[in-house]
Amino acid sequence: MKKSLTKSFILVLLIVASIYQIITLWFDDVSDRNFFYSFLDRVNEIISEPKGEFDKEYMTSPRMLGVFIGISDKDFTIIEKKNIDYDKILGESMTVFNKVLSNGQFEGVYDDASALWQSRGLIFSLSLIMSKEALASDFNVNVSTFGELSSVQTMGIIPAKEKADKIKVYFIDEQTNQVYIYGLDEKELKERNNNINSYINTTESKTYPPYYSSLKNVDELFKGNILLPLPTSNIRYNNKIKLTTPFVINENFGTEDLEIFVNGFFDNPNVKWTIQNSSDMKYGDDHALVKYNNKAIFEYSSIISNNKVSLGLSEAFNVAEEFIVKDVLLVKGDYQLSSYEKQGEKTIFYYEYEFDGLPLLMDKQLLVSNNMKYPIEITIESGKVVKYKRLLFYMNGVDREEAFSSEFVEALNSFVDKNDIRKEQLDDMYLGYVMNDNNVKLMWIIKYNGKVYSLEL
Amino acid sequence: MYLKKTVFLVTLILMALCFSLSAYATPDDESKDTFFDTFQINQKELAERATKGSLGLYSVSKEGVNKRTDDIEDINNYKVFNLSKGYGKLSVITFSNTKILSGKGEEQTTVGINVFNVSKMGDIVSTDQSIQRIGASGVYNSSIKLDTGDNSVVIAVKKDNLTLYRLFKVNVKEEKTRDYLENLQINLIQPDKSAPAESNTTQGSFIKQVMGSTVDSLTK
Repeated sequence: MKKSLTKSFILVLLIVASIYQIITLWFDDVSDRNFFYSFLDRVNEIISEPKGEFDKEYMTSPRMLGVFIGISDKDFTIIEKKNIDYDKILGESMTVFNKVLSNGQFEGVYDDASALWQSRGLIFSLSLIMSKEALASDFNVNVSTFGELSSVQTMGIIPAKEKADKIKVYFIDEQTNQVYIYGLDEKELKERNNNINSYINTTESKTYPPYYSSLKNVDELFKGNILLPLPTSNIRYNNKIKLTTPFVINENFGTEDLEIFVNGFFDNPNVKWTIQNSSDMKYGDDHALVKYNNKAIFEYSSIISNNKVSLGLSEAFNVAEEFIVKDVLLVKGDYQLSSYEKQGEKTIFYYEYEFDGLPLLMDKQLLVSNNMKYPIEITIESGKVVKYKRLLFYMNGVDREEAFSSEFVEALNSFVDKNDIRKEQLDDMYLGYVMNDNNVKLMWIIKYNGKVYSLEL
Repeated sequence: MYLKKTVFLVTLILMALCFSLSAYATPDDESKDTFFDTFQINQKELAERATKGSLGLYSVSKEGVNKRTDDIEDINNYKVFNLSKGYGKLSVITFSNTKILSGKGEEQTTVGINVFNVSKMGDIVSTDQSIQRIGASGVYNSSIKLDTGDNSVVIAVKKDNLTLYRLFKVNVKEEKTRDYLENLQINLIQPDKSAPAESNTTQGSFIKQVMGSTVDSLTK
């Protein structure tokens, strides 16, 4: 009896020791590449960094968010993208557009924009021309909501002033300059209406510099609404910015940092393979392939699934936006949608870089030599990203921000005079950074007849 | 001991000289003359008109004769130049010490603005001015500074043989007056800050206009 008890005791001890040994073997250090590494790492990531719900992104996000104030020393101003309140006011505005179009009523069409200057409001200069179909998809409304409207690059909000008023949104037809107006009772959007109203009133302060509006001034030299800064000490920008290529040091790849960056594009980075060549690095698994070459071209491609998922334009855009988040070297505000293209089942979204809220125009030759139209391109097919290609670099201001002193009228006069286009119309004019060879500096950018010209400040 | 005194004296003299330089080196008189010479505006007559309140449009002949003219109704029209952001009336009350003016005009048109007051001696004392020649784009933009209280403003336009100027009176009220009025409004009626300060239309007229407008075929 005693003998059997001793045996049982030893057996239990052995079992406990073996369990301990197995646990130590498997779970000794979770950062070790043990059997449960990937699983635990994933769980750990989810627990420690809750991502939350992805907010809907709008293709109609503006290149410039203008405010019409209509006071003696300031007709217009803009809310700069670097302004701390920018995202908030943009979010409120998009909700207003959505609600007014979904729940409101069509109020009428004006032949010109003169009626818009009776009340303060927000005016959005979009970064691309949106067809009514694209608008309908973006705001999730029926395309018939927009009636005869062809396409739009300028839209706006006129908040209600009194309880009995309506909050209005308008869209300016790119072809006819007619203004399409929609309204909704103030009580349906009371809080947002108040927020927008009070924000507009704060822009009376001197920290918001005055802007010139070609639409308000009925300036026939421009198509649509062009907002241009008037000389003031309150506009400050870096005159030059410096671009540096990440992960390439003296023509060699910084493989460790590059791998950390690349891991974000794989579901299970531990099972990916790596091929290192002198001119590029390749990473892959059963689902995706990632390439990075010493010319700073980063390319992700994934295998097209058999599931034929057909997405609307806005849904496809949101898939693209959600994917960009994986690129940890890009932050919101570094890029802006510039164009999109449908190619059969594929939708390609083209983005431009931005620095300090101003667009950065890349060297055209550099893009062409890398088979690119824009520095960031995302292709969506069958409901997922099948290709993501971008010219990779860090952007840094060279000097401190300086007060902006150039007058747009002088640049405009010299351009019109030099090209002798007094009776022609310009497509666009804005401040931006222009890349020439490896230098990037602040310049005036004019779009005319489908071509882009840059002028010294 | 003597050295200290000498250094002190030299510093004092230098400071005094700096003061006199900064006090008298302002190009006000010269630039004022440039403005009135450019547009051949008779300063004495202008001072008299400003004092009497004879506001309005004047033409200047080749010989330099300044004459009242009423052949343009639109207050922002100067034949070869049009202001899209100017003054809506000849006599204006505002709370802002800065005024932005925008417009379009024919190429090579010279546009000048002079802000002045008339001294007790009847002389014109300019406080701000700008002279610009319109370029190939035809776009005009300028901003002027106004003093608190009464200001006379001349907007002058010149192209070839045509010279026109319009005389305005702008009264800038102190900011505290606006604060007072706004607070007073809050106590009596609904506050409303959202109408453009220089708008000629009544508040809410746009919405009423929209509501009353003919709804086109879309709604049918």
